[in-house]
Amino acid sequence: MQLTRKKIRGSLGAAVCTLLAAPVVEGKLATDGQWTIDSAALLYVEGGGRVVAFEPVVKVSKVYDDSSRLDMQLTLDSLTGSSPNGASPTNRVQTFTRSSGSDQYVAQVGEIPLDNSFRDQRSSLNIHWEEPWSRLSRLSLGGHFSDEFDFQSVGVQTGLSHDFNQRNTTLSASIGIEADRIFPDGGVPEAFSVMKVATGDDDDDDDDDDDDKKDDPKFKGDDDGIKNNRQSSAYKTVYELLLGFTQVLNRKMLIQVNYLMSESTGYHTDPFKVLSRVDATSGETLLLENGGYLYEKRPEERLKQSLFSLLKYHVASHSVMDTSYRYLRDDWGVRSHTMVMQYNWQMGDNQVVSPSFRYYVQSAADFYHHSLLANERIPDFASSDVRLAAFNATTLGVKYTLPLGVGVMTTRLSWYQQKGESFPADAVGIQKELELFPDLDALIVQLGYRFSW
Amino acid sequence: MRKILIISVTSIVLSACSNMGVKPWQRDLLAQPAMQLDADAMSTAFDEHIYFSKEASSGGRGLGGGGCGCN
Amino acid sequence: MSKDIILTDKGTHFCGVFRAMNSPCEILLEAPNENLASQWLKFAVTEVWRIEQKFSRYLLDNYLYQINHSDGKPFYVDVETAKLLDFAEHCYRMSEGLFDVSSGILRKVWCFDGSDHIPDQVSIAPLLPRIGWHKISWHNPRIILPMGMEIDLGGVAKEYAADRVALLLQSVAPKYGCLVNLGGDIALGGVRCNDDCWRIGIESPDGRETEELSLSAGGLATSGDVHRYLLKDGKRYSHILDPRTGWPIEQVPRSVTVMANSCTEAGLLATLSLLCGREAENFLDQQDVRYWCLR
Repeated sequence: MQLTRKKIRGSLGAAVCTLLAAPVVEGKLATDGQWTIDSAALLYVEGGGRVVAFEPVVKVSKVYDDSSRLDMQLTLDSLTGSSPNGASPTNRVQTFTRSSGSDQYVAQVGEIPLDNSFRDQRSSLNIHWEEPWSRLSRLSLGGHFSDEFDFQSVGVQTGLSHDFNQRNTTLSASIGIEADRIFPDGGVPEAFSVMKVATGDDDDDDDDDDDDKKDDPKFKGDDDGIKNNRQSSAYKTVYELLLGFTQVLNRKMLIQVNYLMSESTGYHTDPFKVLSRVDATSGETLLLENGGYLYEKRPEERLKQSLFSLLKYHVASHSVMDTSYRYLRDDWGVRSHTMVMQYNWQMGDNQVVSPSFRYYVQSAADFYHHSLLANERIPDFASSDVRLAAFNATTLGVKYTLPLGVGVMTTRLSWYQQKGESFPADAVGIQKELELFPDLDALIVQLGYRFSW
Repeated sequence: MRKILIISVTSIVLSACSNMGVKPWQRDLLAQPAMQLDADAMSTAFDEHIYFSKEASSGGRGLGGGGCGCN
Repeated sequence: MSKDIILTDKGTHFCGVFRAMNSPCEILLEAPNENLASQWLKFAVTEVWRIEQKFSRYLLDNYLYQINHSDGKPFYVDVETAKLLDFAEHCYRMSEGLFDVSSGILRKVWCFDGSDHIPDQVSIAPLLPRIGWHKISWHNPRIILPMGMEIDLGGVAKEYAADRVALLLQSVAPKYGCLVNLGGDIALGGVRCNDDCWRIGIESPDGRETEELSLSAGGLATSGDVHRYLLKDGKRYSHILDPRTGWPIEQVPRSVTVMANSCTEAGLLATLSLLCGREAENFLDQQDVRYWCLR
């Protein structure tokens, strides 16, 4: 009897689904064959006149009959405002030269210096494709291209996942490669070079030198680069490997554990950031023209590893608790812990309120210094970038989801706060009276609408 | 040696996990949108971008993928 | 048939009892108050009766009757019937011809009333040319039934009705769970409050063994010849007929109950397992479902 040798449940199940496909079952949006359009905009505002960013996004997705899936996303990102340039506050007015070399900006007495030429516009395109590779596995392919004033990035990734134990266990592996090009206005400053006084106009340098440099490929690019003796661009490549494990624990709970390894080679330095050189006794920053500010230097390699775990717990009718923890360590000395908790509270009529809390703490990179002592030898690598310092950050947020019209509307409000060591133990002289870490406060508003068509 | 350890750990874990989980007809709650790993991918993407540009860590949920000059 | 619906409050849920498809039926549902329970129940039972009315093979002049008396001319079916016919065709192919909705005319010679009236080959043979799904031209939404052929959706209608009603209740009352029981074919819908489960007892036909299940989703269906059979010279003839020969399948289990993701799926697996005769258990083992088989 041939029937006994066939496994027909799969195709039978599918046939039954087709038979019973009812028009609208609550909250279901994308059905096979339809395009889903997800549009959203984010507004990010930091306190103290710092960064303001506006990011509109449109994503278009389609799920095909065989459960293949295509996602295409276009992101625009507009930034203005000011950002710490790495220099420390000191007891006098400080003047800095912009990257173009011809302009300058100022920090008041005791104020953490902020570079207010921080202005950028980015557009990026992401495409992702997924398809069933066999009955129990899926293959994915993706790519991205991103373009902004002084940075371009292109990347590809691919992954494979396989289900075991009646789809209760999933193992996955993905790899990604990314290539970045950095071409700041004014060229890439030489590591640990001294920030020069602003030239104002272009009559300073020797014109003869320029002719020689024009033929040197290292100096191809803008005239400012040639003038400042700088390379016009730098590069970086990132290789990543992600191993994932997902397990259904019971009817209400599932966990995911991911291991991520990332090896990045090339130019990691921030071309706009400097370190202050301070007098070893008084703690006062040296004057600009006396070599008060050095451009930072970071290693050419960075190896990051992280372990991420996630637990999803179905608490009560449609309400879900989402908790995750990530531990990261890299060979720059950074160790971080990230803990996130979000509770999706289903209210009536498919409305969901999701309060969330995130706590993040990181240790400083080995080469992080809030400032350098003038009489000390300059180390191999050094950076005052706040993002490599030791700090903790908290995010409190709430999201509200509401079916509206033919789709679903989402609004989100979050408050992000960063606090670091304002009075480090190794502060010298007048530094002890100043807050050296630029604490951060930001408000984030997000509005989105998703519908099928 | 380490490879053997990884393979044996993986197979031990897999066989241990073969007793955990649910039968196909018990996946009702797991099928709900909020229980999906990529639930609200849009918000996650926004968050990852903000934290990538303000902190030293990135990735974990998925590939790190910078793709932006903000760090 | 009685058109009464009797509603009782069981504390944690409401229970509505009624009659449909020649069987005792009940719907258990959660509702915030009796008013809503009554409203939803009426809505659900109306839907069961609608499906019964539409596809019953015993009624003259209903929808099915019109299809079966289309005299070989093209008949354009509606969306619901089209879906059922697509499903029937799928099952026909999957079962390699054993499950055939055109085999209903065999009831003209076979009457399973427990007596010993076995038809002879002479009366069965003329019916065979009028059986065979492959002889029917079905191209959604057009069906052409050759003269003398009939389709009988009795093999799926009850399970389909149970699933459909469970889904409908889920859409009008999304925060509550329900259990639809049409003569032993059960479909669960929605999610119960506090994520409770429905407790279902499975009893062997002789009443001696019972097993209790806790289910939260899916469906359960039973097929068997406990009441429909013929007995002659000590040999038991089950009512599961092989559409290719017109004769009952040999060594059919007395009763098979299957649990699956939906009542329709469970029902079809139960029916197919009976069609496998002595291989019923092997077939069900292959399908990786929970089942109870009694011989």
